[in-house]
Amino acid sequence: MDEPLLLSVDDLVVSFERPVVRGLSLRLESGKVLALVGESGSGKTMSCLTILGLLPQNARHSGSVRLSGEKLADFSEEDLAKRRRRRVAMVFQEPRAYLDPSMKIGDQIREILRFNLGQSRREAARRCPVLLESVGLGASRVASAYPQELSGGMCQRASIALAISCDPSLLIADEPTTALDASVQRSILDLLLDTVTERRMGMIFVTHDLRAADYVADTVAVMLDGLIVEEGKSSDVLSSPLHPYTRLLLDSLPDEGFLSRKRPMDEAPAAPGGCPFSGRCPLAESACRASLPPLFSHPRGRKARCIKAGAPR
Amino acid sequence: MGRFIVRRTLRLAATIAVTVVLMFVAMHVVPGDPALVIAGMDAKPEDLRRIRHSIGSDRPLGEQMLRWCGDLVNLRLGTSLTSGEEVTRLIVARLPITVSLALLAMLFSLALAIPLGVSAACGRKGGIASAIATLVSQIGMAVPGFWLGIILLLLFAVKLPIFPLFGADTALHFVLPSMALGLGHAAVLLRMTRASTEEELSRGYVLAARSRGLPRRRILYVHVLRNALPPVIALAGVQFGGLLGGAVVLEQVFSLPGMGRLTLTAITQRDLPVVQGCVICFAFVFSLSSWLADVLTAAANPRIVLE
Repeated sequence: MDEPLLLSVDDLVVSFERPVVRGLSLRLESGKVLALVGESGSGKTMSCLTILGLLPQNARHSGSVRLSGEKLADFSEEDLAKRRRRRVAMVFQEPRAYLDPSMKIGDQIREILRFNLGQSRREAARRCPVLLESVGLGASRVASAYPQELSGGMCQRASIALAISCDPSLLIADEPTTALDASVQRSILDLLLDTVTERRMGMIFVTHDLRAADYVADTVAVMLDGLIVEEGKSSDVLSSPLHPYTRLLLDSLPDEGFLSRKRPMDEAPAAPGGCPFSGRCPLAESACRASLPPLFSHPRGRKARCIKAGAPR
Repeated sequence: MGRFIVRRTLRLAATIAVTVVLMFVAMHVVPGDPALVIAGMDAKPEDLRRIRHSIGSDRPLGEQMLRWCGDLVNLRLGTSLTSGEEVTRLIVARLPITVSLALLAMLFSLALAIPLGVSAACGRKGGIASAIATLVSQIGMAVPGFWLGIILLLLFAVKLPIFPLFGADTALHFVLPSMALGLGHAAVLLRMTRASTEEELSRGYVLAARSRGLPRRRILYVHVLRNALPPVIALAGVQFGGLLGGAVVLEQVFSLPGMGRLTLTAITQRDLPVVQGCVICFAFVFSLSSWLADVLTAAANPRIVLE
């Protein structure tokens, strides 16, 4: 009997006033990295928060999320908190904003070790430097520092330490390098990769940067307006994109050496009920605007939500 | 932290020094000859000169100021022009009552404002905690302290004789006055607590702490409050001056023999040494309370120390 999948999401819908996730389905195995790529507002962060059961109170959601076979919807807040302690962890975008500014780093780590793993003060005091060492913060200065005294990169490493302190099986990294200097981004990506490989964790890596996705992930899912529009192995998706939106994202990547700037998108709104990209797609036709295409399957396990998938420009 | 305290203490000393000098200047700018007050309007010039000599008001200003500072340091605040008692003794008898009233009112405000403010911030938008908090803060801000004092006396000292009507003999004597004095300040602290807590609750580290499965209680009490309360404590410290001032009025309502009545009487009677002494005293108490509030805030939240 196979081990259940680490994570399986089916037809996830999340809505506030209007839907922000419109039917997301994902599969993730242990030891693999899935990149969720998309612009802001595409629903990537909301999808992650749903997995942790941390949606804000005014959000409605439906669909199923299974963590190692267990259906999250069946859980009470208590059970969810338990899962958050030991099974899933999240790393966020702005490292300093997501650390308590009034508490030293070492204290925050020891707090987690004591509360989540039930360690005694002495055990936690012993584990803390080991943990910091494993994320490249071996200098003892860090444990007695406050978040504002550390650089962005160091704060993010501390956040990663906090996240992996209880050996979760799933790590969700929501744009962990976006707020960091370009020079530091690569080292954080390496740290994440090493951590995930060593500990056989699964990782969902959320980003708007296709290059980072390529560097880190085994599979890529491109999101637009709450839907997945393309999915496949990262090497395939990035070398020969099937969906016009993916191609647009690739085209807007700057050449080496330039600072990335998002290209302002054209204002034409997508036709409601149709393909979310129909407003801007150079290949759009009336059929695209009329109805939402399903995710068509393509060879090599790839999927694309486009009736013109793979068409030449 | 040690360096912070030293810096803050130096600031305290500077504030006191400036106050002392300003007091001196103010008094010598104000028209009116204390010698006339002592001797009366019909005094003969020789008597006036004699009195001026004895109180030292015929010496050059610079020398007078130095003597004044010397006196202050030795707590020699002069004698009352009306009663002849030593000012220091008058103040020492009454200061504890006023300060106790202000402190109790402060405790009452904090005890009312912080739990209410935090519950309102944590609860739902239209929930009951929110409604109660709004009600209390509206009432507290609208109702004048002396009116509330009179009403409380009517209800709980006359109609239902639970509390005493006047005097400052037992702890019970201070209950109603501190409530009357504290409610107005509680209203302001309540709004600050609520806003500050709401802001902290929306911050990233709260979501991050929840994502790690920390118990909600712990997140609230250890993380959120530690960041949310310092501005509240700072505000409370600043308000203490207002409490001292409000105590003056309420001492009349509740017949408490405190600094307020002493100061008011002295002002109306032009009893200069007493007025001086009272003002210096208030300035000192206020500066000291401000110092204490700063030190407590810094101890609670080390971020302040780094600034």
